Amino acid sequence: MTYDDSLDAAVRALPVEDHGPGFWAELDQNLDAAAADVRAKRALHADGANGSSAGADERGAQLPGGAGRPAPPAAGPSSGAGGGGGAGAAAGASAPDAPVSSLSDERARRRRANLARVAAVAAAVVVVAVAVVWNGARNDDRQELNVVVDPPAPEAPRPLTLTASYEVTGDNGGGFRLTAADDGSFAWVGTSTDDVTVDLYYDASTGLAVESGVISRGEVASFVTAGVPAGGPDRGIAVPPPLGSLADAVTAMGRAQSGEVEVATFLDRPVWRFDGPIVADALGGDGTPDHAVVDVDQQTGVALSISLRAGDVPVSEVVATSAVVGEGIDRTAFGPVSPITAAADFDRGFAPSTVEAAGGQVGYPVLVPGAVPEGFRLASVTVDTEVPSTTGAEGSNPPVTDIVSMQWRNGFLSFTVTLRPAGEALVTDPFGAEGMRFQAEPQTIELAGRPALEGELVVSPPARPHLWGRTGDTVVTIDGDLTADDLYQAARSLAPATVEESSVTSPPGGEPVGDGPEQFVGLDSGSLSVFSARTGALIAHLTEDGPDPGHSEPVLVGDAAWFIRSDRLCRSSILKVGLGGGLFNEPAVTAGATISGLAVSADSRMVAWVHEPCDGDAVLRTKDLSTGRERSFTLADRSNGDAVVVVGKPSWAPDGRRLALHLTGSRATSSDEGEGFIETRVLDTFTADAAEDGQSLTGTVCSLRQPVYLADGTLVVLTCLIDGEPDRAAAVRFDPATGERLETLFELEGPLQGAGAEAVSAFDLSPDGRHALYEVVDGEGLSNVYRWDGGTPVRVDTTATQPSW
Amino acid sequence: MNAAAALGATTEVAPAVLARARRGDPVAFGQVVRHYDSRLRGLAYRMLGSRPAMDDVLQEAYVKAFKALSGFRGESTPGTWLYRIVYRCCIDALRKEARDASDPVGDDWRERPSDPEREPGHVVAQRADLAEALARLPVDQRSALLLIADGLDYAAAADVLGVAPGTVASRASRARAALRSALADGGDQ
Repeated sequence: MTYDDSLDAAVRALPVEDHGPGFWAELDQNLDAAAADVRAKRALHADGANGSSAGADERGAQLPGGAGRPAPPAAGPSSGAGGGGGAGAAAGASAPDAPVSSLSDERARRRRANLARVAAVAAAVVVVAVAVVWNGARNDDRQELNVVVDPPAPEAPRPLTLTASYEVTGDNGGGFRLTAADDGSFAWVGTSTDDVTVDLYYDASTGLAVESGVISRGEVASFVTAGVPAGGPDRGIAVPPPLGSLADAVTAMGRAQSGEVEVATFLDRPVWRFDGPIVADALGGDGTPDHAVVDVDQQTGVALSISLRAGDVPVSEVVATSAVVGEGIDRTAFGPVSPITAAADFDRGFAPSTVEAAGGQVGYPVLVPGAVPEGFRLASVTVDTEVPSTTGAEGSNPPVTDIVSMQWRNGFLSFTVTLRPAGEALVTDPFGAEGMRFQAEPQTIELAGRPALEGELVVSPPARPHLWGRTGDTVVTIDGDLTADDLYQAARSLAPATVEESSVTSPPGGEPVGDGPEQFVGLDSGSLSVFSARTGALIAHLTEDGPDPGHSEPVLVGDAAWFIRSDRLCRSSILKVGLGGGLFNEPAVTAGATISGLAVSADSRMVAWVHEPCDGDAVLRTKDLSTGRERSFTLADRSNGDAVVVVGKPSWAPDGRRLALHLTGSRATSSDEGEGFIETRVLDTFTADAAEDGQSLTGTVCSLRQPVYLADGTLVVLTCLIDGEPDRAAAVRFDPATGERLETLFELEGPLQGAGAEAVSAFDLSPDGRHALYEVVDGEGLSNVYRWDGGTPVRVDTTATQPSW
Repeated sequence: MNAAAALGATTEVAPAVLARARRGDPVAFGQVVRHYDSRLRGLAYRMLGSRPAMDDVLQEAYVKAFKALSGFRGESTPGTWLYRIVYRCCIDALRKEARDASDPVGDDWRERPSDPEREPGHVVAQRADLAEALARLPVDQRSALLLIADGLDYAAAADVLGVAPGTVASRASRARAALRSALADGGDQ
């Protein structure tokens, strides 16, 4: 037993007292009272004429001053309303639990003094913060709100990345290096010499978070959390302090030109400086910070300096020693440098979707804001239908599924709209779980054609600015770098999404073209995506990356899509994502090289790829993911050393051992010119050393291209329909053992333009060989996708390229 | 080990009882919480440090759970779900007390004897200052350590705490390091 084990055992062995006398009797009494309360509320709900009035009555009882007040938060600045809201919020927060609190007079008495003090301080903060933010919103020079969901796409700005180093005093001390991209990705890497150094990486393009490092003395581990939503109360991952809620609050105040912040410089960068009281946040000791001095970089919204004090006593300081903003995103920065040796997968459950598709997934109307601040665009839509979310860290609200999380971004600034089904049990602010009871401004916001949104507005450091509430059977949370006015306007403009409002949907495709696989994967403008195999319509983006860095060569195996991610710095990785909210795993392969020619075996155990270093010769590689064993195969003709090139994607045989490759190169001859060749070979990856060692497949005078193994071990290739007539291409099934041509499956349709099978850039078959997808790039460089289901191939109306199923 | 197992419940609560509780039967719910009370009490007591505080919080937590039970969809075990609510209520209680108490966990921690018979932890457990050192940990570290020490694995503890498993691991590790340091300092005196 280790010392840590002994320590754990000792902690476990600490004595625990039994309940005091009368505990169970008191509980029974409390439960009876609660049951009566629930029954009364149900009766009240049933008596309501509709959801709106019933909801208003119920929430009105819970939120003092909240009922029947459709006014914007401008009503808040008056000291009476603001003070009432602040104090009321403290009382209101516990109102739903009235039977509990009223039955514990001693506890109530003990805490009354504290609540009064906290409420008084916090109410003052709310009065000032809301008033100034709202007044700031009234300034003539403030940017106007545009009532659009999907504005015309402006010219895309160059992506930006902030790189900064920080020193930390207090807490655990030390320091860290922060890399934050304007798509929300970040890397938080410790620089201290502490014996516990866990680094956190979050890649917004994949929803994947990796914690990796020394979690205990001598214990190295990595934890991979998948399905992380872009924002909102359901993320469940830690956030570096410079990106935390305090930075968001100050950013919102700065954007609102609040008098609570002043413009200053830090590290020669313009910052908003907040120097004032905050709601008590720290726990469990005598160092409760109640005052913060924060410098937030105006360009990025990232805090460069955070100083927390309890009275005059410094509690902690996080101070940047350098900060640089540069163009471009090096996505490899958002993954661990060292290999992951042990992964404990953890899934938050959020999978990419679209506004259009989300409604069908969750079963209730997807509300989107019609009014968003200028410059913000919908960046991602994710849906959780599988993993119950507890609604915020430490949340006591009951876990629910069917959550929609949508994020709008404007560079580094962002806000998130989260929808979840309402239940009677959702009683607290979804962000309240992050650490405090906020000073909230009750809101009743009338919505067109829907029950009013009854909720609260919170703009109070250190809370992340947010507005949450319930409209009918839906709980809405809007949070982010938004002013009080922004939040209110966004909430007021909520309306069910229509197809036209979606920014990431494609028009419906053609008529259904037969049975077979329902979905295929492909690329949609550089994003790995799922498409309807029947209509070609885009169903969901699985990644949000554009062309730089690129995603390519998707391969669908079972319910997972594999793909290559690469950047312009000659770094690549092979990744996998589940189609139905499944897990991202750690990269199967990471390489300082260009990767192409991805092939994955049917059992997902073997991968093969062409590995081309920036300054070296390409090789073919295979990896057994069950053991981690890699093999490398020379891609050169042994007789003369000329390079042999793998064209398209190889294909694994069902045995996971043999690999079919389409190769081209030149072979030495007696002449100096040599002789070019195009051929398909079958390589025994257990014994071969070079791609050339593979068995060459013959049987036709035409070249054989794009080999695809079927489940029965036969091989389908594209070749000419008739020997000697290369213009007409066909998919032909061979017996790879004998080279016997077994049957012609179908003749290819499409703009082959005399190039025959050479014009086909991607070809894939269903495992049973009854359905095919292929892509032909025409003379204008446009992609044309065709589907075959046994008859004549039919063109699919789709935005997809590189289809795979 | 998942949370239910760590809670010491050899079996989950009977489905029929749970179903009655979900329909709003307070008697049935009383059976549910009695089923899990032992370990939940352990968490609350070690988080709060006194029996009155523990009882206050558990009263609140259990009633809150009862009122929320209609929203419990069964995706997690009732044990995990209750663990989470109790933890949350402990956090709320600590926050409310934090401003008023320089030592929010009370002096009775320091006077409580440890169990010298427990092996091999008794070498550490007999140190009277373990409880004090534990009480002085930041709550996030303390709660992580308590859950891990109670036998939850990182994923289950993460589910309860609403954070990622690595965060639980690092918090627990830092907690152990702090305890080691505190105990070593105490030993030097």
